[in-house]
Amino acid sequence: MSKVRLMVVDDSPFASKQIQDTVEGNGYEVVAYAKNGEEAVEMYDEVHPDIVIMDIIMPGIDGLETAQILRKKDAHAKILMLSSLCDGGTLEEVRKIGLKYLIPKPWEDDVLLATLELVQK
Amino acid sequence: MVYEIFQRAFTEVTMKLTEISLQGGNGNIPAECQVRLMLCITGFIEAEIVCVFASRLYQAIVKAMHGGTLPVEEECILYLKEYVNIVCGRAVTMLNNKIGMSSRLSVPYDCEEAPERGKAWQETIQLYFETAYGDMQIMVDYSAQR
Repeated sequence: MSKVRLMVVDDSPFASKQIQDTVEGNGYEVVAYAKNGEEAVEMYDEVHPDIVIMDIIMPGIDGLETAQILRKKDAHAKILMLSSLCDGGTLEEVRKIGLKYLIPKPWEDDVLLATLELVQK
Repeated sequence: MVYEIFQRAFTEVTMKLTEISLQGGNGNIPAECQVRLMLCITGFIEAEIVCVFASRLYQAIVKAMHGGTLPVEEECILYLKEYVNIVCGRAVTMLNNKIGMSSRLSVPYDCEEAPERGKAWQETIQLYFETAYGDMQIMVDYSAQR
């Protein structure tokens, strides 16, 4: 069975490594890393990942704005947001742009894996 | 309330991310051994947060987050920035949920590259922590919309 291809967008090497350590061996493959929104927008067309995992607080264009740009390029893009800021207002902003899932940093591995399952549906 | 929220966020998240125990301390960090980062909060609460770490503590945090070894030199500060982002994000989340209003958090800056704001603040809190690796000081200047 082919692995689900992920693109990780986060300026933090810590978060990127944590995601890789969590997902590898569980049916996922990280096929691309972007350090910021601009890189993610450039890479998306080339990589066409199954799911984008993206931080909200990043230098330059933030994760929410980047998600909107990706959704304009590909209305079916599957995006899972991560953030250290995970209050009701942030969740509302995530939902306003048509996304359903926001995971708090630091995350529990089983929460990340379970949410990735939901994003695929 | 702001003091207690930041104290709880730093203590709990530091333990979770690094297993380093933060105890009350006097924030005694020689000037030549300091690493400083700054963040801003915007929205209902506006704030500048300055975090000062003893250099041994900086290394201990980065090592713990990198699985027990230091990453390449240029990545070390990115690990500390992520640590500060996660801790302060937890604090702002708790604040937002407590007061039912929305505030946002900036990315962490090195203090030299932080924007000059020169604002008059309503309140200032200072937290001092002691660890087995040296001390940490957190200064939060903030104002809330009336």
